[in-house]
Amino acid sequence: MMNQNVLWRVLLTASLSALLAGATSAVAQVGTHEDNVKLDVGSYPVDIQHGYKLFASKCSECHSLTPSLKQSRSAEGWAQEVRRMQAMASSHINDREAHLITNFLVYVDVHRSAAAGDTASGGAGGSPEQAGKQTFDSYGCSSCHSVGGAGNTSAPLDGIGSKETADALKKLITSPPSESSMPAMDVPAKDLNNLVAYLLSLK
Amino acid sequence: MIVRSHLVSIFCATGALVAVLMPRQAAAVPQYARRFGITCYACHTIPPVLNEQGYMFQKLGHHLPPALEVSRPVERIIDLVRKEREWTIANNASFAVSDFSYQAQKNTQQGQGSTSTSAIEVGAWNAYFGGWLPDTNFFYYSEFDIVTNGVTSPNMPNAHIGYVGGTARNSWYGIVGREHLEVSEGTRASEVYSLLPNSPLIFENQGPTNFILDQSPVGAAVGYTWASSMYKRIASVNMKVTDGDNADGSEILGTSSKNGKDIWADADFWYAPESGVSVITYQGKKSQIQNLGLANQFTYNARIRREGAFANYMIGRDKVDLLGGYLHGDDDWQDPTTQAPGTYLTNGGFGEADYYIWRGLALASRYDRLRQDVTGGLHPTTLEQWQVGAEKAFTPMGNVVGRIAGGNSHGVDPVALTGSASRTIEADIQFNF
Repeated sequence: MMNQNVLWRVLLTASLSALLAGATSAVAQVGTHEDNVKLDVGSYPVDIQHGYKLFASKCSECHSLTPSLKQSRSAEGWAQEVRRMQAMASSHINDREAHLITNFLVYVDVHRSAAAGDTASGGAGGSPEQAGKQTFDSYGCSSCHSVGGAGNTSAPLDGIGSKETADALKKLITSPPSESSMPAMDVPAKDLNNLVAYLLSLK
Repeated sequence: MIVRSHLVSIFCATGALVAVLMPRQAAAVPQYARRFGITCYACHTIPPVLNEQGYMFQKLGHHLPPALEVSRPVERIIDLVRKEREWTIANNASFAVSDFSYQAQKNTQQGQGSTSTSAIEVGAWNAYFGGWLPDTNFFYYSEFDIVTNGVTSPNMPNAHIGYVGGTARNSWYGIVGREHLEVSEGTRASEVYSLLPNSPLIFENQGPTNFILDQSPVGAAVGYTWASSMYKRIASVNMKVTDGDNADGSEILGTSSKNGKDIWADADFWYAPESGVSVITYQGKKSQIQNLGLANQFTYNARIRREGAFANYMIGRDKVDLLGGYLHGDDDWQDPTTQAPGTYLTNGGFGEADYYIWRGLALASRYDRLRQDVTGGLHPTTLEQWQVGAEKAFTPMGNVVGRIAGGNSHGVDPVALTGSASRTIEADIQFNF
């Protein structure tokens, strides 16, 4: 008959081992956490790889990484966004880490645009409306807006093309009224034109 | 038929007593994560332990604390309200917050043989409703417990409505309704909930008066919170006053037709990332019926006081968290046999070290010590307890958490002066959907 003390220790040790074993497999998944966004991190410069590691560990604490990697911003736009995240409670990102994360995001953004032949900015083979739809998706507009019932239905955009002018839409996107809950979007001119073309097509 | 009726009554009464006296099972509220499209880790180290952001989330009336940049104007609470998504049942309710647990325990009491028990059970099954009245600063929160500690005993320990005003940096709130006694739940060391299955002994202690801090009476609470830019410093003061049937001692020894009053106050200060200090005081007066149901029962109004200080310090970047706390208790006490008035004095403390190996996995160990001295007892006695455990989240979201913990406690009853010891191993898995 097994001594009861020994049995207790065996139970505790076995359970702890099971938890730790499960943890090991979880860690291996962190590096491949990018869902449908493919990153060849191994080919990046060392500093950019470091930035990726910080991005993966710090940013994923609060939210999924994929939406961030799908967005497109200017270098200053990314710097502003990382500064904003840095000022959130529990982010614990210091200035050096913020700099490295910003560099990584800018690097990925630039290289993704180059690899995609800049189709999101109305490149060869796509109409401004189609490119604008891609821009709409890549900026995550559907987290607050819906089109045809897809997205957040609290602020539908159906029919906006027959209510607003191109200039009014540009102003709404880049400098919305202060009482609006919409953030001012830092959108490159080409993307802005395509986005407005897409919105004007929603009649 | 009568026997069956008695059994049902006993079952219900036992369930209600357990639900009221036992510490609340900790539970996350996953509808908030759904609502904001964030993971549980945004507000928890590992659920249910809150981080700084989770603390601020509570203080801002369950609104996500915004970025506090020096270069940008501070958002008002109403600005946060305007950003809220449309009300839906999915982002305001959680129906399947459950806990499946296994517990094995071996108890030894002086003068008697040892006994062993073990059980696999649905430890808890709770439903939560929490949200905001659309386009207003009013918020509400309720917790409906269907199963508590393995017993089906429908109970609503939290049901309150509040109003939050000011800005994200200088906010205030007022709450009325049934709410956890420890209003703010304080900085990390003073939270009732820890990484281990059981709370620190000083929160769970049920001494001669059976009073515990982990209660949810009916009352009103107010608080003010200040935060510096980037949340480098956070300071908060909170106070709660209760008066009513749920604060009349019925949560102590049994039913009573008399009311009691409680005042709770705490001051919290986060002085470094994830590190903070809390100072608390509790003053209460309870109408109690001692030895309920027995021939020699008597009623008296016990005065209950608690004063404590708690602190934690996070070493490194969310790596090692050192926690500790001290709580002094000074309660009226009446000898159950002679009815002679006296005092029940306690001095309790705990020290804990949590090691976050990486996000979602932590090891925790804690030592608790409680010194008790009762008028009429021959000498002060000591109760000691240690626990070690591991916690792991099984999903990237962090909403499925497994825990395993082992512990030992031993000590002497301050009244009966009989020694007892127990060894416990607990494992559970929590599902938060």
